Amino acid sequence: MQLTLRALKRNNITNEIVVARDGVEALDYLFCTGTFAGRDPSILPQVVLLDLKLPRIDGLEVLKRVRADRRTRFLPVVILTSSKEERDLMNGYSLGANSYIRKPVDFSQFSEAVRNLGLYWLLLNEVPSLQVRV
Amino acid sequence: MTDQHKISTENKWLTAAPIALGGSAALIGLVALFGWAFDSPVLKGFHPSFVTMKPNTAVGLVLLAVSVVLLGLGQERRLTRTLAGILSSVASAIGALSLMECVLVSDFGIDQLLFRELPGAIETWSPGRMALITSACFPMAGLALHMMAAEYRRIKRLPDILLSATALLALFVLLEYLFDESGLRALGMYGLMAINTAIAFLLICLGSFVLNPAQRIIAPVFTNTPTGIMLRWIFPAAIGVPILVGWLRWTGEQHGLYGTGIGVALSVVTTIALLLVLIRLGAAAISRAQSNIERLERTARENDRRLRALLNATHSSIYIFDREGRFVFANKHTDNLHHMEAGGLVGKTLFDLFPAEQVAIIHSHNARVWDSEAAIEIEETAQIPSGVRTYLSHKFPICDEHGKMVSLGGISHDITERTRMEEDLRRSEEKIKALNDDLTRQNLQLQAANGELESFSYSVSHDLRAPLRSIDGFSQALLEDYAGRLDDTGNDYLRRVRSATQKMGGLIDDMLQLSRVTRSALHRRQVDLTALAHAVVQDLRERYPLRSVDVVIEQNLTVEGDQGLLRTALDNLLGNAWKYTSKKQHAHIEFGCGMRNGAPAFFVRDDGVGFDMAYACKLFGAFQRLHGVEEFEGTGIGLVTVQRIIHRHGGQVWAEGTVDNGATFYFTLEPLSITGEDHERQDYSAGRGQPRRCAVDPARA
Repeated sequence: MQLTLRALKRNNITNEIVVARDGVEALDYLFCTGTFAGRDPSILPQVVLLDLKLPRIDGLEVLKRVRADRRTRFLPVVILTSSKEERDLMNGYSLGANSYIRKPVDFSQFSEAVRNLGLYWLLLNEVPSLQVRV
Repeated sequence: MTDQHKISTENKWLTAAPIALGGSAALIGLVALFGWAFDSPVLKGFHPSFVTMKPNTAVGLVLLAVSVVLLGLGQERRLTRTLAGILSSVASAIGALSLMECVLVSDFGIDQLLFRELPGAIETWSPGRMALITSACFPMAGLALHMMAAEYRRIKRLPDILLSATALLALFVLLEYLFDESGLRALGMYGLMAINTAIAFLLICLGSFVLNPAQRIIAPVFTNTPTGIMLRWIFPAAIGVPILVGWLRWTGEQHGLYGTGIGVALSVVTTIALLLVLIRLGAAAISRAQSNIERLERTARENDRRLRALLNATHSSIYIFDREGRFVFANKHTDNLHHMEAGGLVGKTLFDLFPAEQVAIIHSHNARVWDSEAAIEIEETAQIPSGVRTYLSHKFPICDEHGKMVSLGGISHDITERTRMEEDLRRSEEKIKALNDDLTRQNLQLQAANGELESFSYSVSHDLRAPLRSIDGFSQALLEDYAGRLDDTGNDYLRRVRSATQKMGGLIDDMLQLSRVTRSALHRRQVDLTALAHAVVQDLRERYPLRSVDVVIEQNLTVEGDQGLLRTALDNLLGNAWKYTSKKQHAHIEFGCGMRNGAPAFFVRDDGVGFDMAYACKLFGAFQRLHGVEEFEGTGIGLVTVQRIIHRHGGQVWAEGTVDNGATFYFTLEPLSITGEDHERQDYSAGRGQPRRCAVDPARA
């Protein structure tokens, strides 16, 4: 995670980054519940980078709940994980992931991947504005 | 007694005859009594000039005739027999009393008891009294009937003699009426027998003779034997011919055609001629009957031979027991089983053949047939000289003509072998079932193991790579942020750390691929190997643009197989060829197909560094490498992956090579899986010798 942040930083991606340490925290943030109860629900991230192996609630379950909720059903979700298993790819896309990126071992390659990712999802990709406020 | 010696009790005429004859006689008696009641001379004696039947005679005749009818109706019933006995005794008594009157020259006052007769009646000694000869006939016929009614058999022929005597007397009287008009009767003293009385006596005697013909002296007449046939010709002849001839002679003499001398001569000659003709005809009838019988006997013997041939030809035991359990018949097979000569078992019992406890069981089966008189089918065990055998026995009753069971038939099939085979089959089935259960268990274990392997691979894929990424990432971070604080050696070490982690990442990826090759399902369909090879080479050319490699790929190589797995196999094989030719300025790689032991064998040939055939076996082992990493990079998993893919297709893989002279990797898929028969192929089995095959046995994969 630290490496991901470093890669983002190195690629001059300066957007605000919120880090959730597990699935529960991620959902609390998105739905403004739990520790994020006071947060303004109209503010949603431009993109969610989701690992599959998460403590408590795993990545696929988080994705499922995000897609099930009207407020977040169009939220761009990019799966960023070590797994290259066909099964994980299938499940991810079936549940509505927008993209699936496998983290390479080589940091340079990883860094390059993160750069492309930021460029695409933060700059090029357009999201319907209505979905932000419900 | 055989059938033809028997008098048929079914003969309707013979059964009805006593009733008809007795009934007629009774009618004659009753008519005479009517005659007395209404004083009609015709009814009493046929003609006013004839002597009348006396009332007592009429009563006696009715009694005798009724007893004949009674016996004819119900000889087997005790009551009718008693009644008939009483009636005939009363008739005898009437006759005896009249006889005593004649002999003692006295009058017991019985003659006019019923009806009075005027004195001076024709041929009558005393008014109303029957003639002496008539009174003698009554006790004779009466006694004969009484004996028959009482079933008195000690003097068997007495009734025959008495009845014959009575009949002859009556016949004599009748003939007298026929031939003599003088009125002087030979037996005419003490009165004359009336003509209707004589006829009635004849009827009664005839009826008595046929009451129970088997007991009578005339019995053979009614049999179907030659004797019977002869007697049926001779008896009527013996009676009819003399009467006829006598009457002719008498009539001729009466009319004055010839004198006594000529009459005698004529009658003798006629008698002789008629008797000869009749006897000859009888003899002809006998010989016809005889030849008939012989024909029947021949047929019977023929049938017997056929039956015996059938019975002796079977390999089942066929036998018949009498009620005492003795063999009445046993076929040849049964005799042979017990080492007997033909017919040797007849008269023996089962105790002579088997141990007592087995006999007890067999007898209990036989008893069931005797008790129920119904066939049974049952398994039996018996100790015969050649060992203990199991039989399937069919046992059934054999009945006589009246439907009474007289013997027990049996047919026993030896089912020892069949039983043993059934037992074997049952055991094999049990064994197969046990094996199947084993297999199912092992299959379940295998599934469990596969499941574990899968979760292991999954966790390897995730968890082993995550720390590697950290190591690499932070090493990079160190190099970027702290490069100045490290000397050259430190920087070099960090670079080495990064290169090692990347190698390990590659290793993990290769292992994951290997495990995926093993686990994934095989989807067979038409695969264009030529196109696949072109794609692989295209990839390689893009990754290594500086290499100069001539690649020759054969056209139209199509197989049945899993596209993804075959792509991986070609990736590895062509990748290897690419890699091991990297030292050459201009490398040559060839992909094609030849025939090997009747099956198409695909090959990838290069002119690279090759290998020593002594180490060929090590090629396909995991992590086994014939070259150092410094020389050629690699993990040593590629060929293992290839081997697994080929084995999963049911094929074989092997390699040939020499050091510095290139290598050829061969693989086959399923036989006949290649299309395009017209395609020209080289046979690589010729010229280059048999390939050495190492650890490529699919069975061991």
